[in-house]
Amino acid sequence: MADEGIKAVIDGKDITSTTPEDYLIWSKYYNLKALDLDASWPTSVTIPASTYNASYTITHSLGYNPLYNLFFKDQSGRIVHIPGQSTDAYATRGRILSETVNAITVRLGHSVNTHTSDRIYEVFHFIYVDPNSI
Amino acid sequence: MSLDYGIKATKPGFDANTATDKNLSFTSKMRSMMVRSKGIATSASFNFAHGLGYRPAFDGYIVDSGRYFLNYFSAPFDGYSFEYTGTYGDIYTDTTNLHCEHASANTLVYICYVNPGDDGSGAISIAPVKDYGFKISQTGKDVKTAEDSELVLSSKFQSPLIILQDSITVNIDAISANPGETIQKTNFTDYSHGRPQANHVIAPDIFGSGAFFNFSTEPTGFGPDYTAGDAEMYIDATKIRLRVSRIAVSNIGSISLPATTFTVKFFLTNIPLPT
Repeated sequence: MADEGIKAVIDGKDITSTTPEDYLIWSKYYNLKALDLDASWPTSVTIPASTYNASYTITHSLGYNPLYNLFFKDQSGRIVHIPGQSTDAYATRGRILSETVNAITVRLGHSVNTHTSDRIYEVFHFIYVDPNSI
Repeated sequence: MSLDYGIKATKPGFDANTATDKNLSFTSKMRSMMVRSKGIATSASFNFAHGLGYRPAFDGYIVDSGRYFLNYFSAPFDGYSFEYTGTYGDIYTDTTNLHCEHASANTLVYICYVNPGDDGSGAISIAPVKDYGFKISQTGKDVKTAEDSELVLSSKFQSPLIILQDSITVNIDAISANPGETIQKTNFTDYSHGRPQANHVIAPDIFGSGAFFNFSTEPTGFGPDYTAGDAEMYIDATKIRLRVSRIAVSNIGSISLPATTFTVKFFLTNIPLPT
């Protein structure tokens, strides 16, 4: 098998190392490659007043289930994981509701449902071109 | 003008001239994740001053007796019979800090990325430790002036490399609950990862997504009858363990859950977790 490609080691490590932990990049292994933000993807989701939750769908159209890393900005301006829970006044939670080979649907919800006006949350996503498959 | 230059490398066994994006180990066309820093929260309320100027993306773990649990936060569906019995934590980023909050010190582990978790406005570059290496900017950005957040790759930062990908399967027997009963079952499977330490592992499906648990009816809490389930996953120096628990509660009629096989795909990186 061909032994070619590119590699770079962490400062102080030997470029002949066979230990993957020593490498910044090594084309023998792949790194996660994030899709550029698509103009059609949602960047916010609104939970209407007195409503517990709202969903939004990211349609990536890859044709397979990709790896991803998702976040939302809570009502205190902090970035929180999806799935995960914020410590803002509404204890906002985010979770993956469903996945298909072309889309990921996420739901944000309030554990504390005391808001009397709409709540708008910004969402941020890393959708990787790398398949979530063996 | 659309620029068509850069570098790419395929995964072993693919032709760089014809490989699709998913079969590339690296391409300058797409952003790579770059690790700004990693560490352990050494106090119950801990700040890591990331110095990036925006809200960076991150990952986190709860560490307990050498086991790194992926669900550092309270899981969306509360679990049962899980091995981590302590309190969950909270990790978030703002434009100044990555913040870790937990009842105890030395419990939360974080990986802070260079990649913005927001729109990246206000970016500040990190001063290099050494003045050599390489970097590649995003399309349309001048590599000489691009901020770190505008790079697709830089030798100033380590990019997580996927060194192992596989799956773990857990079987749960059928569950039947008669009126007034609460029946719970749990099971786990271990996977020997073969590395000399616990590395950062990615497994996006373990937290009760529809794709994983396949609920026929989404659990809504404490109605007359409900079924729920949850998963716990951790990595230690020798293995990855996946545990799944399911519960059936019946207040009125009977509930029968068929035997179920749960499979989680995971991706092991070359990033050792802090000890």
